[in-house]
Amino acid sequence: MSGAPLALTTGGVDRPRKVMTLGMALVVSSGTMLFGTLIAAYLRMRTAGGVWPPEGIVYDEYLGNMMVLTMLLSVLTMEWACHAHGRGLRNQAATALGVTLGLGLAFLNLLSYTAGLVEFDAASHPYGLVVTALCMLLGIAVGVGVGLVTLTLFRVAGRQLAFGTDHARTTAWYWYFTVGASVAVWYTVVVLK
Amino acid sequence: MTITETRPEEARPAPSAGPATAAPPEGWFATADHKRLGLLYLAASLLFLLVGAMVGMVLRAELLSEGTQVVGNDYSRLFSMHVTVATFLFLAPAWVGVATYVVPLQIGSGRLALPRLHAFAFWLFVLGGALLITSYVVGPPAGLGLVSSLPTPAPKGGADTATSLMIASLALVAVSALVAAADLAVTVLKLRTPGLTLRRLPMFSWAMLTSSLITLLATPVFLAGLVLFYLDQRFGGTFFASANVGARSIWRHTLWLYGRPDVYLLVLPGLGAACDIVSTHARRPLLGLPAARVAIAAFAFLSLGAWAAGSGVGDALVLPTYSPLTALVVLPVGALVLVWLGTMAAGRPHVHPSLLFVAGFVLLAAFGALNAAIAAAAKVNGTAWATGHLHVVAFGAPTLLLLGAVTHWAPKMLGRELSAAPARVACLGVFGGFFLMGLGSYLLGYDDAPARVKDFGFSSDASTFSTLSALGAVVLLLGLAAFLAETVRAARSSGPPAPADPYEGLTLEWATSSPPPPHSFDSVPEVRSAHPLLDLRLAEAQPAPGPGGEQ
Repeated sequence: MSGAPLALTTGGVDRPRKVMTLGMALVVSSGTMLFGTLIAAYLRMRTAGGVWPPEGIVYDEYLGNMMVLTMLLSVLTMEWACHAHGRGLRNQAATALGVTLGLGLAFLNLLSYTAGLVEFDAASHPYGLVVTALCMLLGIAVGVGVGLVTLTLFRVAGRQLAFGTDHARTTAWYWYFTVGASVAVWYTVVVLK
Repeated sequence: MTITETRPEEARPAPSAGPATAAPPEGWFATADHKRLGLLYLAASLLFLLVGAMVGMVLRAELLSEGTQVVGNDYSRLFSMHVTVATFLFLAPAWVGVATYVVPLQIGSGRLALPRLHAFAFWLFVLGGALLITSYVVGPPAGLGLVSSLPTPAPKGGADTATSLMIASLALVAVSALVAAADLAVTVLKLRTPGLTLRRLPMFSWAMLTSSLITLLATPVFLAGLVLFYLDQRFGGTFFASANVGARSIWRHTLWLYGRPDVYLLVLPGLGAACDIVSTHARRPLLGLPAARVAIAAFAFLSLGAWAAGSGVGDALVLPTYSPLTALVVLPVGALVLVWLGTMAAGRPHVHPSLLFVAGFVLLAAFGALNAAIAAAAKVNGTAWATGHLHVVAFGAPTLLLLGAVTHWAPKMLGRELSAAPARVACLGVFGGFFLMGLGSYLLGYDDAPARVKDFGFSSDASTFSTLSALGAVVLLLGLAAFLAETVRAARSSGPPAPADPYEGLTLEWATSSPPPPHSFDSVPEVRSAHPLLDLRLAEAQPAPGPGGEQ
């Protein structure tokens, strides 16, 4: 047998590339590590001794629950948008994206309203700092998501997004990540305390 | 059984390559071309290295002897700046630069998956780097920065501009690293030419893939620490106050330089580059290629063990260490050195200067390991020994691999090979410089001279050791200057360009011209193994099939 190469099966031929989807999966894994670290910091401080949360901290749990329900509701509308886009139903996709956008903005509004109600800040105590960090990053993450949904909405409505491309699905993956982060932060701060 | 050997057909057009008459890419500032971005990354990181090296020289002058006053009360500020700049703005981005240039060529794609995003990452890195240096110019940021294993408490009333600027700039650099890592990972995973499966990936691309994935997991942890640090400093909180025991572990595992995997990622791409250098210049495929691939993946995975490190690990980045998980990283490195030696013994090596850089890496790493073993018997915690060890193991050894990689791929990057004699002199200078610096600091450590302190009770021996370290710094600077001068000479030379494949290379980057055209490839050879160009040469050497088609 000579040393010449054998004809081996090749990989990658005609493979759908889905570059954006993979890129978003990596971004989401990084985001998970980011929120995971902050939640781990919260839990570490919680077990480090002392009163946790500090005395005098009162939450309006109704607002927290409404925030997380708003985000969970947006999962349905986002999935509806992806489904409609995959089937070439432009109007439905645009409507669903519009509703998702509205829910995202409602969440941000609720978050900023709640932040105005609480009676502590980052300098008050370690609890205040780590909760501020969590809520600030969550606000930024959802804000970026709102931007992505807006962009996708304009592209869909303006017939700039070909059906069958992975752009809408990529936006959806990011949105689901923000929903997951919202649930995790809500569970840590409101439920677990 | 009949085995049909198929001669690779005529070169197939690259899937993503542009036409041969494609317009040249945009100017340097607006470019999204991977080759230009790679060179920009390298140039910027070398510029930042010069800043870090000059500050290092000033620190060395301060430590030359008892009573020397060069920087006065600014010693801590400059020390923190030297370490931060060298760590965040030189080695890691320089490897990104080499990868940005070489990886798309090695995988036969000739482009990045998300080129505009990559350009954004580069300019973010430049902005972050410039702001980081500015933060040290406008005033000393609080504490020793990220060099100390103890948290920096916030001042009452909030931090000054310098501290806020330092944290913000580090966040920018971290985001830039994340974006670049994501793009490199997507490029390798999605844009490989048909036939180039992950098991056939060139070792440098493999190392960059694993390094990028670990960066994507580890850097957000650092970012989260920076967010906590920023809020604490900005609003004058009590989170990182010395009494807060819980926050100490958060600091150690998110922010402290040696409690995160990043410090190991400075060498990981170099291990992959060394594999490619050795196999190319030994003119044979790497002996035990699967083992080398596993070793690199294991090194990447084990680097996450840094999160389990205790506060003493800064003094022992290799054995002996305070954490078994961090100690294990030496095993894959040892396996790789054996693979390199075996490949050289089995091949037909020609002594290219890049091989000397790899040899320098092995010697310097062995020197570090030897001293780590000696330190096990001596009490060196908190002494200048740690400074020597960092210069030898964490910075010196990977820097040699980086320069070796640039020398190896110079025909592609610069269009011409580096001349052998100046490259060898530069190699000797850089190796010798790090060796002398390390030796002086190790001896200072054995003499109980403290680390990070500008004035201490100098014995006559300590003065000699300090002079030895300073001499090493000068030799290092001369070596780096020689390397840069030779690089500039090769880039500006008006002589004929290097041939497409000056070394009888094995991987796809040697299938295109030197330097590559704007569209990177006119055509990409068919890939049927991990060494497609060797296959091509072997197939061409086969006798043509007879009239009956018998093979």
